[in-house]
Amino acid sequence: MRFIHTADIHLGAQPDAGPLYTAGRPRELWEAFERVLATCEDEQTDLLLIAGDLFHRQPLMRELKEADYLFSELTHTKVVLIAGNHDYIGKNSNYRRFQWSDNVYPLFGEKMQYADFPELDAAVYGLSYHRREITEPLFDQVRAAGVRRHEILLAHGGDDRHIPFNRQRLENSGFEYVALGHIHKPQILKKDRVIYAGALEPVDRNDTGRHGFIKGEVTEQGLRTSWDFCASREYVHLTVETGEEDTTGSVRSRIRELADEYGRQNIYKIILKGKRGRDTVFDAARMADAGNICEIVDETAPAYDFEELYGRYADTLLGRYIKRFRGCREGSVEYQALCEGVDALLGSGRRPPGA
Amino acid sequence: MRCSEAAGGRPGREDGFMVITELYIRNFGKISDRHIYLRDGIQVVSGENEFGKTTMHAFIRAMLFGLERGRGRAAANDDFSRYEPWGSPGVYGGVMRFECGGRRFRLEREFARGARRGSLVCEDDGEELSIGDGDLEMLLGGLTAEVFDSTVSVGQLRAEPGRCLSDALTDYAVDYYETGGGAFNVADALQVLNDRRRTAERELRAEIEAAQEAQKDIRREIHYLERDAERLEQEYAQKERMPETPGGPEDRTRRGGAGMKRRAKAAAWVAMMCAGLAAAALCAVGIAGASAPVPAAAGGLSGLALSAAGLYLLVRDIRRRRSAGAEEKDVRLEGELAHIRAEYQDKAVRCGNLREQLEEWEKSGRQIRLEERCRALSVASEQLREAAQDTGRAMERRISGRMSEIFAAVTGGRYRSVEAGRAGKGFHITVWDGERRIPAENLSRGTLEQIYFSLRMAAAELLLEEPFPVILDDVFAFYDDKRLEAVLQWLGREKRQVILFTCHSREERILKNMY
Repeated sequence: MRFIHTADIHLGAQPDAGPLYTAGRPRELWEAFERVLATCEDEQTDLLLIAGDLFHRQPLMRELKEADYLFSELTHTKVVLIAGNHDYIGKNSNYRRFQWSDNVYPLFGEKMQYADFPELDAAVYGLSYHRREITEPLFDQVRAAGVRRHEILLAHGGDDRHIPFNRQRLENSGFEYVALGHIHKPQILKKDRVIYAGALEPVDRNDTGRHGFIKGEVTEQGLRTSWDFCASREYVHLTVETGEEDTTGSVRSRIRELADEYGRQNIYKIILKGKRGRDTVFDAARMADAGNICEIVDETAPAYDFEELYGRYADTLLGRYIKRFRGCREGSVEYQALCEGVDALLGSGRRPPGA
Repeated sequence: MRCSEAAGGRPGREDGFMVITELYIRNFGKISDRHIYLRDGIQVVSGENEFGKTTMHAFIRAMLFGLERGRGRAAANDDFSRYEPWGSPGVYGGVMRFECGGRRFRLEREFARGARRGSLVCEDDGEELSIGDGDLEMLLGGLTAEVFDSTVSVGQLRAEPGRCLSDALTDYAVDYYETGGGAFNVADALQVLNDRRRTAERELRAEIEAAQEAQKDIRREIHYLERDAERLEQEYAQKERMPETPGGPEDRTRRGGAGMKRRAKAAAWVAMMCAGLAAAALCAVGIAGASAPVPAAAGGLSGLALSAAGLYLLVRDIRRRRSAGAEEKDVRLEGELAHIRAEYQDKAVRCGNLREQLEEWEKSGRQIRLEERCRALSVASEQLREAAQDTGRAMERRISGRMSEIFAAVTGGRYRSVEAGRAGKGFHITVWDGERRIPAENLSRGTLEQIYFSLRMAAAELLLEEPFPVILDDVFAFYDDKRLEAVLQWLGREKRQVILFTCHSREERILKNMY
């Protein structure tokens, strides 16, 4: 038996993907979804498991029709899905009235259900969100019922407000495989057993790293999984170290080089770190075209040697000012205040009247 | 120009004491190729108006601390531009000889762009020292240009046009006290911080407004959707009541009574049941793992639900068919109603999604950073104000005694003391003549100059490690003869070189009578 495990596809989301790609990003999410289905068809995958949040919000009827049409085209694959916290089944949800194709098995109950696949000797368990938050640890008591040889659990959640669970209990719940959704970062909680597939495509600027889905195969030797990182783009957080000599132009060139190196197709958040010349102001607007940048965070500090300044100006206002900020952490609000004050003081120097 | 010495030179000194012995100006401002020889003690450099005393004063500063061209707009009026040689394109610079710690040095500099260089040689042993490596700074005992400007290099007290001199003195003293030597300007620094905070606040406001605007757009869309939904509801109600079905009144009542919302809801549940059952193999299982569910029984339950739903639909259908005369029309109407229901449902879902979007709205990263910056700038202002007051109090403690001594000496005992410090709302300077406390605004220009002089000299003692030559640029113009004599006597007692630039002959005359 072969399956594909995906989650958090977030169809309908409109994520910020930088100036170049934001407009087309909602379409790209659909395209990624179609690529997964194409893989299912190509490889005649037996089961497609969608562990929640297929949609970013309550799906519209036409969106459901669209998705279902694509499912219906699969000649072999059977689809099992649950609703997550984003597309939870509210009282007005279209999930309640939608008629799915024959090969689609929604597990939309609030309580644990399973879809039975006798031809595969498999059963897929799952429950759906009927509200946006569920704080009860619903999975902690769940155990595979033993109705089939291969039993898989679809589970969405894992943080405090979305069905927190005990990892150990989940591992020992008797399921051959637990297909997790909700956390966007792909991660393996237990090798070949308990896995977050992660978001299919990154949908938030903090969804850094590679994204895709899990392929699984059950053979005589047991269950084996592998990643297919198929996402078309990545969010990349780039830290750019600056020095005293840097200017907006030089930093921009460096960002451009880095963006070339990491790929022009990606979406960048740039964090400027380090020192800058005392009278340098980095102009983020002028760096914006160095790549597809969704955000530039300037955390640089002016290149003051506070110890040296303190030694030189100990008894003066400047020294006393610096002393007040002793021990503050670089990057904190206090540190910012220290830099601003020192800058303002040194800039205020004036000759006395008559000199 | 005349150059004279009044107080006789003292024997060579072995400590860090510094004496400037010669100025050779190659080209600097309007002066070119001129030697000025100086000795220890009070050295009077006098001449007519415009003989170049200010230029010489600036030359000394440039030799000690260099002269770099400023950047940007400031460059047009800075010292570099002001003293670029007039006329002949000779070497912009010169030589200064001085003694320090018992050794003689020769300091040479060129200021012109491209040709800028400086050399420092000990003339006793020919050792070449390095200005770049801080050798000169060390000889100067750490004296910086700022401290030079605010202590030993003294000019006349001046007020901006339209301001009275006592206010100028008070402002100066506040800064002097609260910055610990006058190298900084508290009010300017606070102003800069304040301006920056205002700019940041403006940007923050714009960011918040943009977010609010975007939220307003969403609210507007919600409003439109609600309006559309309402319209659909009315349309539905109207169509439902339409008398085109030739059924009896009983029939209309039945249908009218159903209402769209209720019917939509019922339909949704029925559909859900059906959808659930379309996946025929679906079974409900218990939550607790203890009692394993039996799939057959669960399937039976679902089957039951299916029958109930099917029954409802069936019965409804039959009743409708029976009651409708014109079936075709009825079917069309039912189609229209279904369409309205679907549209209504679509609007309702979109509305709900937009509401969620509003609820989940988060501050942008930029907003968070701007808020932080505003906070940092407030903290900076607050800390600067407090640090200034601390510094002021410390300065007051450290120099007020010495300042009063000098002031009493240079006023020939007319006043006993001078006090400066914060009292009530502002900073005040008062003098004490033994009977009355007189505020600065009631004092003559000469007396204000004497307070200023006392402040500078007291601070010089406090802030400088080694006695450094005092350079006085026309400082005594407003002193009467008696006080001029007093101040010269005080200076004569001080163990330091005094270079006194003046365009009067009074100083020389008095000094001659004194020695």
